[in-house]
Amino acid sequence: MALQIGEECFACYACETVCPAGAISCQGDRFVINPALCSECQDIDTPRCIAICPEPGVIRNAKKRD
Amino acid sequence: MDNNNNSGPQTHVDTRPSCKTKCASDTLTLDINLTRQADSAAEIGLAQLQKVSQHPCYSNNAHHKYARMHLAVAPACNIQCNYCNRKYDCANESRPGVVSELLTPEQALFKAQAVAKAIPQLSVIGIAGPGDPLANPVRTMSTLALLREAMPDIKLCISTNGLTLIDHIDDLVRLGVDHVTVTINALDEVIAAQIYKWIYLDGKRYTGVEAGRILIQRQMAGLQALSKAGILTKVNSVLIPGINDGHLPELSRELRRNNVFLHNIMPLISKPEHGTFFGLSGQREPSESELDAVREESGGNVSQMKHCQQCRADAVGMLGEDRSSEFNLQDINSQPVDYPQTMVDRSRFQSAIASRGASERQASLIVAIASGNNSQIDLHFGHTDCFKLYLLTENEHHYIGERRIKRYCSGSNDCPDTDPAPEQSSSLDNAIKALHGVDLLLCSRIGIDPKQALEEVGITLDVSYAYQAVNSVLPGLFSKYKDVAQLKWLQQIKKEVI
Repeated sequence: MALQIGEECFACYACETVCPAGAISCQGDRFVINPALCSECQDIDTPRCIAICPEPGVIRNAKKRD
Repeated sequence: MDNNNNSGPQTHVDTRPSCKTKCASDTLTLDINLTRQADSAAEIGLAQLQKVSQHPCYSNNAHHKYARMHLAVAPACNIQCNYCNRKYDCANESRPGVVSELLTPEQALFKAQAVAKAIPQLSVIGIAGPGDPLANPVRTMSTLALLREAMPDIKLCISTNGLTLIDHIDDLVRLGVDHVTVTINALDEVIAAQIYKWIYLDGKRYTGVEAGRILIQRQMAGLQALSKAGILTKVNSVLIPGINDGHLPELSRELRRNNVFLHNIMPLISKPEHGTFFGLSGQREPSESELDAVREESGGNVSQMKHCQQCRADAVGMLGEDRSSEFNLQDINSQPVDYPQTMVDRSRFQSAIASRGASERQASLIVAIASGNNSQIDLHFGHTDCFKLYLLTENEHHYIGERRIKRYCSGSNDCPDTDPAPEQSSSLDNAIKALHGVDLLLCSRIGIDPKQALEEVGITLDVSYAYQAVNSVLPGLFSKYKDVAQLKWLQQIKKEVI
């Protein structure tokens, strides 16, 4: 269970800055999510990285919630 | 990031492919109207005048003499503005993710010192993006802390969209940031909803009118807190025809109520190739006459800045020029800067600017004054966190800047002049280092240890003017220390000849 960042990522650092698990890091010219650390922000409706990402749909595979 | 507007001293990260050349040609009118109808020198006050006298983005006079630089340490942004698209920044931009452009706090300090040495007119360092400085609090505050400690003669400023400003006021005060620019485009949540696609706050994205309401409320709370903290504030607004053009004069009235010093109304930059919402939706840019008209109408409320160059988040140099390409990290890395010596050279250069060259032609002195209220010599040496520097010549005195130090003593004002606690020793060392190049120091009182330490590095102390007015003391001071000035002058000439 983890989110993924697509290749359209243009490395603006926003997701890395707000991730409470420290799961996001810069790899080359884009960011990646460490699946071992990502919890998809169970405490809130929309994971923080998705809420702040300026590029729609780049962070994917969010668990569907009610 | 706040593309048009999140401008520090003044930032605009242009997104056009040919932004380098276009930025340089984006020259707006170079005059500034700092004489709004209601203004008077008394209203602005000495403290504010001194604060802006060396800030190119706050003073029309200063922008001909002093330079600024922006450090691109803050990539993330917490607002999507409709005039901004982060994705299409050009290769020459300070685009986040382009490693050579985005700086770590340590790299930022390194670059800042190299620029301060190469461009002695540099008086201000700002963090303005390329995102929002306060959406990157760790990177921004770490950078400011490093700069503050290592570069006591530099003014620090930030430029923010204001969404989280209220949460960071204490840090900004602690780090001695005394200029903040806030980009505010609307006071009306319905208008704001047409300008911002979304905001991100405390883990959640807000859109529409709700986003506008939260943003405006937090921006205004931020302005009030800045005013209370004594931080000089400029507000940038992007003029968007048909959306906020009729609204900006009303905004400027509210800014006046919140003690905003300067209002910078900037034209929207909007082209389809920028890929911004406005660029793609066909939102037009304002004409020059529309811009003039809104500035004119708003000028009755708050002084208008008209010399803004809408520069980039990594700009270096005088307003209107960008020398950032001369200071790539790879080029400057091998040359560490001796900053205390650089500071001496910079003070000398800035003395020459302030005195129009007089300090290079005759004997002069640099005096540091410990003043809390800016008008009297009223501070104990150990309680001073910002010394005001003046240049004295036989007939003139000029304000030439400041040196900020970490307060050396936290005791009461009437403390005995005894030895300091051991932990104060390093603060004293830092204070002495920060005063490098000062000839004479006036304060209300000083302990034995700091007195000896200052005298050892050749700084003459005088506490006989305690609680007297700075303006009445300065005119007679040169003749009292003429011998010191002449000795220094001889040494200077000798050094240059040999």
